[in-house]
Amino acid sequence: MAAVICGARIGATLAASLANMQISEQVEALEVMAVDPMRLLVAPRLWAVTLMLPLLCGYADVVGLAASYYAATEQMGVNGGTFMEQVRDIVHLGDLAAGVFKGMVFGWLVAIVSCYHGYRALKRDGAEGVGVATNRAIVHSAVLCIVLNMFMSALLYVR
Amino acid sequence: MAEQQPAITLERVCKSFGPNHVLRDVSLTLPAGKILVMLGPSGTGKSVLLRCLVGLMKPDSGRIFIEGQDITALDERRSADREQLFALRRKFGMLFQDGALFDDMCVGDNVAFPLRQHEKMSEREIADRVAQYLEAVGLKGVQRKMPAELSGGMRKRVAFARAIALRPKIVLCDEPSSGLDPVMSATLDELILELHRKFAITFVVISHDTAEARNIADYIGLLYKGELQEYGPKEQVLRSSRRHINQFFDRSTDGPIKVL
Ligand SMILES: Nc1ncnc2c1ncn2[C@@H]1O[C@H](COP(=O)(O)OP(=O)(O)OP(=O)(O)O)[C@@H](O)[C@H]1O
Ligand SMILES: [Mg+2]
Repeated sequence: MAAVICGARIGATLAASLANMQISEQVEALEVMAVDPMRLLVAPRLWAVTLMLPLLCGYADVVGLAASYYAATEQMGVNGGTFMEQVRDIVHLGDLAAGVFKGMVFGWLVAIVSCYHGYRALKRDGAEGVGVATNRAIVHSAVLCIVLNMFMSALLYVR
Repeated sequence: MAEQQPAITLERVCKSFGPNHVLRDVSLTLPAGKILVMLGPSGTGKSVLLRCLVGLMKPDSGRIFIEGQDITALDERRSADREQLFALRRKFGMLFQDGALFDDMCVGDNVAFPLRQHEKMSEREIADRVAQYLEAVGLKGVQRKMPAELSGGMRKRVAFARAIALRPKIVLCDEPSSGLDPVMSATLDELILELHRKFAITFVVISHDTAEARNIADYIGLLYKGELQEYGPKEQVLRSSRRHINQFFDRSTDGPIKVL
């Protein structure tokens, strides 16, 4: 869930920035300077998102845990130790690993999809093209992540 | 001698976007080390011509040779061709009509960008070169500003500095003088002449400004409705009796060039 929300946000930013570079001829300027825009613009974004999204998921896990710890101990009066024991019983290390793995896959997917839409923006579409690219990036990233999530859950947990 | 090869040769170049025939049968030869000023009313395909020259657009038919090498034969999707294309493009510096500055980088990094990509220079040398060119275009000490903080004319000058930073052999300028005040555009003309003298750079300058053409051109071309109405060495073109070129130089509404 965290991955989908973060992913959509990140994807929107990626697509918007690339689309904007595309319509203001910055991508062409790169080409004229004999620099491969794929290598300079797309590759680092791909790496960054693929590596950072799992960290974000981990962060979301930690925050979620901390919040529920607070809610449980302060508001419902559950003993802190008991809470942690319960958590340890329910949450397995495998789940966390699966989360990180999924984060990476989603990150990669979001980056690819968003870069694709951003990169495809055409100069003649102007500012509207940026909006369209951003929109497509969000929708396609989110939908693909959700669909892929079903498949991956099936694969990861059925075993 | 290889030096004698023309910098740019166009052979019957045609380009259309659907029913819109933007370039029709444009042929020209520009010797190395000359300044060509390409005149023409708005919307006649001057920018499209420049894009074809650097291979950003592919002509529908016809061929373009850069120092004898056919750039239209290179398909950028094939990796071997792409390398050749990039090698060819290193001969170019290009000033886009709207500047096309990287808006996530400050001015200094923009000008330094081609140097960092292609030259093994120390950061110190790069900083010196950047400062030198920015000063030459009348923008001393703006290195840390972002492009969004500059005026249109300032952006154009920064883009010019970036285009010449590598001291390429051929510099293409899409309307360097539009949006600049007369003094500034004269300064830029001077700079073009100076670079031309010092480094024997070939320039293709697109302009609406006949005074600029008189001042800096070795060759003058006039593009109208996608056709090259007039092309040749400056003296010859200025003596021409063709009505297109006369109308342009006389700033007259009376003639074959119509505002539709
Ligand atoms: N990518 C494109 N797709 C479709 N049509 C285009 C494209 N680029 C240019 N054109 C068309 O080509 C024609 C020439 O455009 P171009 O930009 O070369 O004009 P120009 O001579 O540079 O004019 P100006 O002096 O105003 O810059 C115009 O009619 C324009 O609509
Ligand atoms: Mg133009």
